[in-house]
Amino acid sequence: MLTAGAVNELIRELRSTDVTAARSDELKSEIIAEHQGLIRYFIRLYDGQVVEDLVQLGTIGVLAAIDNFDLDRQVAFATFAGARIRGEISHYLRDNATIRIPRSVQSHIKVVRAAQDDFVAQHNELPTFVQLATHADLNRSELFDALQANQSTHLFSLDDPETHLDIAATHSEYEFVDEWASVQPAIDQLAPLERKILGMRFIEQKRQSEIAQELGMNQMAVSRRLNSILERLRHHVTAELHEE
Amino acid sequence: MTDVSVCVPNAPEYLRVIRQIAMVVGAKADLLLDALDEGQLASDEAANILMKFAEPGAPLNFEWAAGPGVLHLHARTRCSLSHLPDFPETLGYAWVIISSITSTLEIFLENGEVHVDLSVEGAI
Repeated sequence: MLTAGAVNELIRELRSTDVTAARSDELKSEIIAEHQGLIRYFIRLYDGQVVEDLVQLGTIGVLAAIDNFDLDRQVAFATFAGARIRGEISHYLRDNATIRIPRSVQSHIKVVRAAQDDFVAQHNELPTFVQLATHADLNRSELFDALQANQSTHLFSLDDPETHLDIAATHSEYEFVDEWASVQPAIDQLAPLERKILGMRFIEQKRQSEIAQELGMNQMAVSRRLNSILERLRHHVTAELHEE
Repeated sequence: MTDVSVCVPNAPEYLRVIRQIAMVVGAKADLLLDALDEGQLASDEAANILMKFAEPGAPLNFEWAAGPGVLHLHARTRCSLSHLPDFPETLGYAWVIISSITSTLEIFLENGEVHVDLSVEGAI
């Protein structure tokens, strides 16, 4: 366990001008790992039943805290990060309080993901809707429900390889300029993996299936991420309009 | 030929309905899975464009059609502008998104309405 001073030193190094992208990712991972206990503490306060799923949001809170922590203030990073973690979790639970995915649909999401992976492994290409329904042995309504539910589920389990991808994501090499200026603050709040996915799709113009293959993810996971990212960008624009 | 047409109030809470219909029609077109997703996204963005230019109180009209491996959308609403502004500049990142995911895209004014015509392709 690091002392408050040691954490401050990691942040100081992270902000130094000569830190490499690789070292920057290492430092962030170390700080995130150091605050896993804090993330879990706040999740338990809010919703003990979905501990693992909310870890991802807590991690985003720590990343936001790293970016915004004032080293000159006489306050421990953990105190500052705690507020960010709590904010991320409480906002999510407030905004999604009415979303409850039935257990049968949750199980279909798993079936569909597995069927899609299996199809891609066999045919080396994505299935169409009908092919996926056949391969997953689901009727069309069941597949609709599973795909829709997949998009509205923004959270990930710790056992999910995506969570580790998020933490280990390399620094995004994409620059979001010009047309992206109006949503720059929202882009700055994205996790490194999310910036990467956004850049691969809309700067490099790669298809979801290509992104999935390159990042070692499932296309449905890329779809879910993109939907979540674009939703946040839109919220940012809407919020700006309301402020004007 | 139109498969589904719908008229909704100009309010963000109806976007969910638009997305769901786009998925159903995209499935009828038997789109590849990522194109199915992008058909929804394109319909969503088209709705956002209409919302931006609609006359106050004007409803938004959508018509989807499924072809083999292609989803077409024609969306329109009443608009009091005499000419449309330059799109990449006005829409910013939303323009990047909608122009990236569509195979064809046309936005125009006609008879006091702003129209969005687009298609998303994705077949084997």
